[in-house]
Amino acid sequence: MRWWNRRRFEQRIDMLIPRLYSVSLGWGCSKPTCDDLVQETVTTALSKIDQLRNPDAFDVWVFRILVNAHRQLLRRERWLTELDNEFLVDDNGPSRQLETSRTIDRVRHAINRLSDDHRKVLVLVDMEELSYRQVADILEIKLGTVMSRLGRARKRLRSILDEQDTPTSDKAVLRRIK
Amino acid sequence: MTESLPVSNELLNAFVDNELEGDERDWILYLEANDPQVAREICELRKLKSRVRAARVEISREQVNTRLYKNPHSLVWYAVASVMIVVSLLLVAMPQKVAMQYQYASKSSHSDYASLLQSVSQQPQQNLVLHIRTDQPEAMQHVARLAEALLQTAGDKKHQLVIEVIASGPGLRLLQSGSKGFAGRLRAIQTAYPNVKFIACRKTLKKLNQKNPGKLQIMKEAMLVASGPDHARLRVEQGWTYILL
Repeated sequence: MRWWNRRRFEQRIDMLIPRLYSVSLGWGCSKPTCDDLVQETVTTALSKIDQLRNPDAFDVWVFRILVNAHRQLLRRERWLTELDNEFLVDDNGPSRQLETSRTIDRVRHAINRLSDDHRKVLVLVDMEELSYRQVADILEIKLGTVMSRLGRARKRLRSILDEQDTPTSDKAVLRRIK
Repeated sequence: MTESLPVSNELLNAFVDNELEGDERDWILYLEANDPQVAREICELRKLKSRVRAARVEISREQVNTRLYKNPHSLVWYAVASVMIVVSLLLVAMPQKVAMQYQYASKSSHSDYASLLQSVSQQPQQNLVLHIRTDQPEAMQHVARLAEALLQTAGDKKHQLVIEVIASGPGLRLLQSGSKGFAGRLRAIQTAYPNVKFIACRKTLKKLNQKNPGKLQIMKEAMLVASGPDHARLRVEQGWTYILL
């Protein structure tokens, strides 16, 4: 590969890094795990850049490397997802910040209760706004599988959020104290 | 929920994600407008989608520690080390390289001999080392002839040329005193051109005298240095042109 092409790909990978990090967070990784995953993805992508067949599918190719790195991590460490609250804070004023972080917290906790397969599809489609075709290419599954996983993921997510939205006080049983 | 809906859950999701086209899309649009249950389901899915989207954490590049190369400093060091190694190799190999080139020239090519003369004639100031390590009579004769020719050319052009003829190893015989060697001719050259020096390797002389004490006498005009090759290397480092014969 000519050096200017390589330089161009380096710039594209650099621009992708925040998205890769965001997706890793969406999958429930802690900050140190995101650091490791994204670093590994970037290093692998740069070392295998010559294997890239279609430069137009560059983003998909890099995301696929991220998926593989994440899969290896799960396999290697029997990894438990954990939330990193540091990134839940927003700078939109105290009340908005509190409300936003509560909402984000609830949704992210609900997403973390999904299975890994469902979570991956949901994050890629809803958070990264990738097309079904791109998600199928990234996860190396069929288009129909993307649709069915997404359908089940949203159904499950709705039920989890419904559970969370239901105030616990409503469930309290009144007992007569003699 | 979608159990009783006239359309599958997957299709409704695909519609919300803007993945449908043509008839399928028109069909869902029709249902959305005419079936309150479908409309409610689509609304719920859109709400869910926006909630998930809102949970996305916006990350800026500055927040991420990831580097394109794990240790960029090491790359710089690799580059610096590589350059240093190449430079060192060049310094070490340079005398031999030049020597090989000139050895070839001295054997067969008159054009290279001429180019050396031309180089001397073009440069107003030049320092040259002629290093002889062989006792072949042709080579010794060649050194004397070459030195004389170069000095003459420089003199004609009124250029400053300094030549040091270094003799080491078997080549030390070039500076052997007595009527059999080249001492007479070298002495004549030095008388005519004071800007030429003849330098003998003390290390070689010591070795030869250990084998045959007093057999080899060096002409008194020659200067003795501790080591001929080391002196040659010093001159190369100082920027002198080096020719090995």
